[in-house]
Amino acid sequence: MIHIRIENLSFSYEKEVLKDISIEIKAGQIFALIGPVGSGKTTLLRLLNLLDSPSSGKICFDDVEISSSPSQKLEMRRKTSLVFQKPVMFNASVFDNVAYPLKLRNYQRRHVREMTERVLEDTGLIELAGRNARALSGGEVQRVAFARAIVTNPHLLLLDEPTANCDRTTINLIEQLTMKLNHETGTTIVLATHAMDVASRLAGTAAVLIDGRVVSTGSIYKILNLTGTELPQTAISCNINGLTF
Amino acid sequence: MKELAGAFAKAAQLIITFDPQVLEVTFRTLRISLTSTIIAGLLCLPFAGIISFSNHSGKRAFISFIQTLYSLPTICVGLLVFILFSRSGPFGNAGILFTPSAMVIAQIILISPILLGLTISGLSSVDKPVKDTAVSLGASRAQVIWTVIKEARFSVISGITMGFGRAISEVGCAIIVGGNIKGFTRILTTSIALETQRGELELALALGIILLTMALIINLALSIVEEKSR
Repeated sequence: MIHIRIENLSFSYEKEVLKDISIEIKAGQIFALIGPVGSGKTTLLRLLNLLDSPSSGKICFDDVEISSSPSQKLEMRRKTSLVFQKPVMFNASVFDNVAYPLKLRNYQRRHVREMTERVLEDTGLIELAGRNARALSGGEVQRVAFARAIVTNPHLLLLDEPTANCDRTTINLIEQLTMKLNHETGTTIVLATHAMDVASRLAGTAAVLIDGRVVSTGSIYKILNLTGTELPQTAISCNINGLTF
Repeated sequence: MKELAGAFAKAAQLIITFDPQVLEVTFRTLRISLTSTIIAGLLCLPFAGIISFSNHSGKRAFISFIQTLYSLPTICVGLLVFILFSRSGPFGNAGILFTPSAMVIAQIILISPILLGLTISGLSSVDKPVKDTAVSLGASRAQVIWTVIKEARFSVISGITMGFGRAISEVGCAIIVGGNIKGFTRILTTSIALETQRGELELALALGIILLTMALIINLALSIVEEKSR
């Protein structure tokens, strides 16, 4: 579990994508980044995964700011997993795709097999283990990407629209596994989504990003004006600053 | 036509009877060309990875230079290696001129630009999201390069196939630095050149057919490897 503090973070890429973001994400929390398409959610996740560097401001993990040193970045990345909105599968079997992060960390072959098989079982992919991951359907690819992200039991899990384009069964499975991982290992989870129902079912706290700025932070129920007695099962909309999404 | 038909008959006879001299030359050809291809591959793959991932301003110019070297004349490479390893040359003490080792070195120089250029081109064609995925899953720089090489393996195999093809078919280097010494540095291409000069056209054509058949078998084997890895 990792505590994240983002201070006055800005990021520019041709134009300013993120503007003066300050957020605190407590260790072991499931935190939602809510916002319409193009609001900067994915960019913020990429910065949290150290794939890009901020133009200004800083990100501290457990009160430590990661320097530009490759070894320090690698050490932090190995505690983190990111599931991209459009996951890329390596041209290899489902098993090899899921085992990939373990092999990078030089786990013993026996452990790689055991841990990979366990995650494949959990995600209902064991039957597809030998199939080429590039020949899978969209929902199956999403499940493989999720399995690949959780196989290392990361301290920080970053999910970018993890259930977009998934059927109801896959959505339920991914949400259940996300909750289970958070409960059992205390993994800090940052979820970027424009789907309010997903955010409200998974996250306790959230930040709303609009046009690269944080316009609201706090309890998900407060943000979405929900009573908290019943979680929405279908898509709900949100109106913030006159923007409905 | 008569000579061609005779050549096929001669080639068949040499193959069926396991002619010891032809076998010896064939195996030497294979040994030298495969050795140079393997060494060039081991040198070029990581180098191609480093170049492909670098953001150096001279990268484009370097790639253009490498691509120009695709058409490097074999005779020039042979001459260069001859000068380097001749008694008065900087590496004359190595005493490897007119040995298979000198032929291997010449072939490495000859095929490296092809291997390097095609591998760089293959690695560049791998999408950025593949690299990002590897990095996000905890790959070090070397592991990212290896992952991208694996993803670009079809281009890499094509490069290796083309490099091997150039190595096995070249004659300029082999004659200059190998000397075409019977039982020592004589290979199929130098044998063909010799037999043609001696007027033994049927034998020369037969050796050519054997050379082509061998190249075909190696290419088929690499195609099977490529197909299986898909």
